[in-house]
Amino acid sequence: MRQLDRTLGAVLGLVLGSLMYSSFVSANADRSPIPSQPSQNDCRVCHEQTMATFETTAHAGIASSCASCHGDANEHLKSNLEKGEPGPIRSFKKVKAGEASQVCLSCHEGKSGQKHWTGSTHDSHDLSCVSCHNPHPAAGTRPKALLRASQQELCTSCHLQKKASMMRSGHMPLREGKLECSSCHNPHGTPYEKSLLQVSANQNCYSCHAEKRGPFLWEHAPVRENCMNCHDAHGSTQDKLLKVKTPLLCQQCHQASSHPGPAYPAASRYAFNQGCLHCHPMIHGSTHPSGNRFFR
Amino acid sequence: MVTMRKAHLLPLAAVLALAAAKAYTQDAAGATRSGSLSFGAQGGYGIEDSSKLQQFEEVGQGAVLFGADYTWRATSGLYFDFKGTNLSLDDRAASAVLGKKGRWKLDLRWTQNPNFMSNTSRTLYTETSPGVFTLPDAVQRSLQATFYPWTAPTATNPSGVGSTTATDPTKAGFYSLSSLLAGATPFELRSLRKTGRAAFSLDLGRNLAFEIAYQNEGRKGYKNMTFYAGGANLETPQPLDYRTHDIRAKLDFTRGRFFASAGVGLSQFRNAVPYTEADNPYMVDLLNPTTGSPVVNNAATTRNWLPPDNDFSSVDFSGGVSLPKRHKLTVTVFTGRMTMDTHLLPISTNPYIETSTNPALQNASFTLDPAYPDIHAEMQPFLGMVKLTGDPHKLFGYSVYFRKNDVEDKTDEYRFTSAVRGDASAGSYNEAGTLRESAYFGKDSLKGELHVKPVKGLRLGVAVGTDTTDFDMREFLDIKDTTVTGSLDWAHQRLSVHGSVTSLAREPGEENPHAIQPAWHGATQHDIARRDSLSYSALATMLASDRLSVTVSTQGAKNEFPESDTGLLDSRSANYGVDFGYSVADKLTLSAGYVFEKYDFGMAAAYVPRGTAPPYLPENRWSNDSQDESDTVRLGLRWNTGKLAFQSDLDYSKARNDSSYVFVPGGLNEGDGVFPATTMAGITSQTYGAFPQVAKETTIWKTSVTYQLGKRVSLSALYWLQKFDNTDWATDTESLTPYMALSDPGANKWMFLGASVPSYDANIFRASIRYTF
Repeated sequence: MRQLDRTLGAVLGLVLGSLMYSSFVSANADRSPIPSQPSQNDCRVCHEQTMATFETTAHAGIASSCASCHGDANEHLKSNLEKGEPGPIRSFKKVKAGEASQVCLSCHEGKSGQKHWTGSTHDSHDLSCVSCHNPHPAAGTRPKALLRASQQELCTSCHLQKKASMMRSGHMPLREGKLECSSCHNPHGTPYEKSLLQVSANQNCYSCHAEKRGPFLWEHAPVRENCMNCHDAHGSTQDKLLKVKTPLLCQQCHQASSHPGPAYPAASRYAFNQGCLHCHPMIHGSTHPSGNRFFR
Repeated sequence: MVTMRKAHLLPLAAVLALAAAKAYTQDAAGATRSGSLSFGAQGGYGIEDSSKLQQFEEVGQGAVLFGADYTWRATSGLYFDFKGTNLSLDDRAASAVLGKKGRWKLDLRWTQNPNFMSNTSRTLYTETSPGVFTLPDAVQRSLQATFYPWTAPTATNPSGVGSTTATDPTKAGFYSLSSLLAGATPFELRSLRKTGRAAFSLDLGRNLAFEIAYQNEGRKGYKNMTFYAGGANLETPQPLDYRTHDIRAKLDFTRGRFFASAGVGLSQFRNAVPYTEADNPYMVDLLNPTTGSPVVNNAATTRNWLPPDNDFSSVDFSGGVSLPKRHKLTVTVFTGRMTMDTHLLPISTNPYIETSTNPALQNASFTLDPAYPDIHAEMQPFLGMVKLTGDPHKLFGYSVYFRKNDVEDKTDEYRFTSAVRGDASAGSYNEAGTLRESAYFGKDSLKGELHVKPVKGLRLGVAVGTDTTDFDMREFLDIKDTTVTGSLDWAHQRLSVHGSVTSLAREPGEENPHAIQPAWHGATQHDIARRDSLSYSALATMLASDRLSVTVSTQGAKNEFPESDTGLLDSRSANYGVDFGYSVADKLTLSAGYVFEKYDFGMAAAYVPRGTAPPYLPENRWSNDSQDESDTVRLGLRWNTGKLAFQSDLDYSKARNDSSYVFVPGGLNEGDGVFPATTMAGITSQTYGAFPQVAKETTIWKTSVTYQLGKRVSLSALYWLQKFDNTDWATDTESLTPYMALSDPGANKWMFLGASVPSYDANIFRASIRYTF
C-alpha cells in the first residue's frame, strides 16, 4: 500500500512538473526596462562613504548602476540637483519586506540557495533579505554581506535562547567556530522541517555521524524516528547532548517488570557513569544476532 | 560498492591548474593582490588540567600560526581566495577557492575537529592489535582472587560459579580494585576528525548551473565503551577508525518564472575496526578442582560488535514556477536507499557456553553458529512535497503544503533461535526464536496558513495543520497531531514585534496488535501517543534611540498528558531573554544580554517483582521530578580609536539540574537489593530523596588590544580566561565516592576507565603580529 502511495506521489509530481513546464512565461512581465540611469559616480557625489565600502563587495562588479536594486534614480537625482532635496528612490529601510526581498530574488532566487525563500519560516514572519544582509556594509566586507561579524552572532541576535544553549556544557562545537548555524539549517528556507538542509533531522545528523545511519539488524524505534527524541542538538546540561540523564531518559518509556522499573540510587551502575549504557551500549542499533536488547 | 580511485581526479586537477595558470599569466599585470599572515606565541597556566578546555579546539602553546589569507583578483573575473586558521594546531581549517566570476569555481576545504573527551582515563588493558585488548595474566589472577574465591560445585551449581563478595562484607569489592587501578596506564580519551572537501561548480550558460562535490572524512582515536560481561560491567577504549566518502552532484535550472534543481548523492561509511575483543578480567584459569574441566559459562574473552559498514544513495528533485501575484508552486521529491551488508560471526567467543548451568538441561539445538552467514539490511527514506504560496492581494496572502515523509523498512524478517546475553553468561534456545520486525515509520503533513495585513507594518497569521505518523513497531499504529498557530508580526518605526502561539492536540489511532507489549521490556508510549501542548514565543526589538537597541524574548511550552500513573507525566519549558546594544560614541559600543531557561520533566514508574506480571502494587510506585535551570550572561565592549582597538567579551553560563524522588513508604522497589525490603548482613540500606545537584558553570572572558603599528603591521595582545566548574555525581569521581555504599551488591564488579571531566581554571596569554600585504 505504501509502495502504491509513493508511486502515486511520484506520478502526481511528474504531472505537476509537466504542467509547470508548459505554463512558464518566457519573459518576466515585472522586468520592465529601466530608462538610462545615473552612474555609480553620480551616486558617489552624495553617498561617498557608502560607495567606498560598496566597491569592496561582491555586488560591486555586477551592478552597472545603483538602480539595479534601488530602482529608477533619475527623479531622485534630478530633484536633488534642482531643488536640493533628494527625490523618490527605493529605500530598503522603508519598503515592505516582500518588496525588498523581491529585488534580491530577481537575481538570487534561481540558481542559488534562496529558491525556497517564498513561504519560508523567516519570510512568513515578515523578514526580508535586508533583515540579515547589507550589500554595502558600513564596516567593510563581511562574509556573505551579513549584518554581523559572524553567523552565530547574527542568528542569536533574535534566537537568544539558542545562544544560551550553545554555552551549555554539552554542546556542538559552534562556539569554537567549528560549526555554524548553516551547517544544519538554511535560513532562506528548504522544503524540509525546521529549514533543515536534509529531509529529516536524522539525515542531517547522519551527514557527520554516518556510523549511526545503519540500517541495523535490530533497530531502536525512537532512534530511527528522530535523534531529538533523546538529544538536544543545540546544547544540554548533560553529556552527549542528552535531554535528561539516564536512567530517567530511558525510564520515561521503559517501565516494565523488574529491571527497568525501579528507582536507582546514585551509586548504582544503572545510574552513574554511562548508566543504562553500561549494559546496552549499542543503543543506536545492533547487528549482533542477539542484539535485540542492544547488549552487543 | 563504490571504490574511490583518486587517480581519476588527477587529469581534472591538471586541466584546471593549466587553465588557471594560463589565465593568471594573462591577467597578472592588471590583478590585485592582498593578504595577511598572523602569527605569535601563546601560553598560560591551567591549560592541561582538564580535557574540557580543549574538547573541540586546541589551545596551542609556544609559537602558533594563527591565520593566513590571500586574495587575488584579475580584471578578467578570475579570482583566488585562500583562508586558513590555526594552521599549526589540531583544529586547523583551510579553504582555497579558485574561479572565474559567473563561470566556474573550484572550492577546496580542509577542516580538523578534535574531540577530547577525558584526560583522566586509565586502563589495565593493552591494545595488542586494533580492537584487541589484553590483560597480563598476573592482573587477571589478582582480579579473579578478589571477586571469585572458588565456590565448590554443588548439585544445583555444578559449574561452581559464584561471587561471595556480594553477600560477604569481609570481601572487598570495588575498593580493592582501586589498588590495581592505581597502576593502570593513563591515556587521553580523544579522537580527531579530518575532513577534506572539493567542490566544482560550473555555469552552463545563463539558465543552467552544475556542481559536483566530493568529501572524504576520517575519524581516528578512541571513545569509551562499556559492556556487560555476565555480571560484571567493563569499560575499554573503543577504537574509532571511520572513513566516510560522500559524492554529490547537482544541476540547477532557471528560466523566467520556472526553476528546478536535481541532485544525486552517494555516501559510503567504512569502519576499519568492526569488532573489539577484550580479555574477561576475571577468568584466567578457572577449572573445576574436582573434575578439572573448564568452568562453563565463563568466557576468556568478550567480543563487541561495533557500527558496521553502510552505504547510502539518494536522488532529489525540487522545482517550481513563479506565478503572478507572488504565487509560487513548488514540488519536491526525495528518495534514498540505506543499506548494510555484513557477515555474521559466531554469537559468542565462549566455546563452553550452554543453555543452562545444569548440563542435564542443556539444549542440543543451541549453537554458536549464527542462523545466517550474512545479513542484508535496507531502509528507503522518501519525501514528497507540494507547496503553494501566494499574495493575491496586498492585504492578504496564504500558503498551503502537503508533505509525505517516510522510511520504508526493507530488511527481511530474520529469526534467531539461539541467543546469548554476553559471552560470559548463559545462552538460551527458543524454537520460536526472536524475530526481527519492521521498523517502518512515516509522517503525512498537511498545513495551510492565511495571513492578513490590515495596516502597514502589521501581519496577522493563522495556520492549521495535521500530522499523521504511522508506525510498525510502536504501541499504536498511528498518531495524529492537530496544530493551530496564531502569529503576529508588527513593525512600526523603531519597534518590531514577533509572536506566535501554537496549540497541539495529539491522539493515538488503533492499537498495534503486533507491537512489543509494554508489559514486557517494551515501552509504554504515552508521551508520544497522547498529549495536549501549548507553546508560545515572542520577540520584541526596539531602537530606543539612535544609539540604543533592546531585544526581549520569551519562549515556552507546556504539555499535558493523559491521566496516567506511570510514564512521562510532565514536560514544560520556559525561557526569557534580554539583549542590549549601546553605541556610547561612534567608536565605542557596549553590549549585554541575559537569558534564563527552565525545564521541568516529571515521570513515574513502578517496580514489578521479577517473574510476576503487571499491574504493580500501589506501594511500589515512585515518581521523579527533574528540573533544569540555566542562567546565561553576555557582556561585550568594542572601542576603536583608529590606531588602537580594544575588545572584551564575557560569556557566563551556569546550568544546574535537580532531581528528586517520591517513594511510597514500605514499598518494595527492587528485590535485588537496590532498596532491600529486608536488611542484609553487612549492607547499609541506602535511602535518599534526591540525586545530588548537577551544576556546570562556564566562564569565558577574552580581552584583546590591537595596535596598528603601521600600514601593514598590527600588534595584538590577548588575555583569555576560561573556567569550568563541574559538579556531576554521575561523571565526577570525587562527588561520587561518598555515595558508593554497598547497597547495590550485584553491581560492585565493575572496572571503568574513570573518564571524568574535571573542573579547570585556565589563564591564557597571547601575543601576535599581523602582517598585511
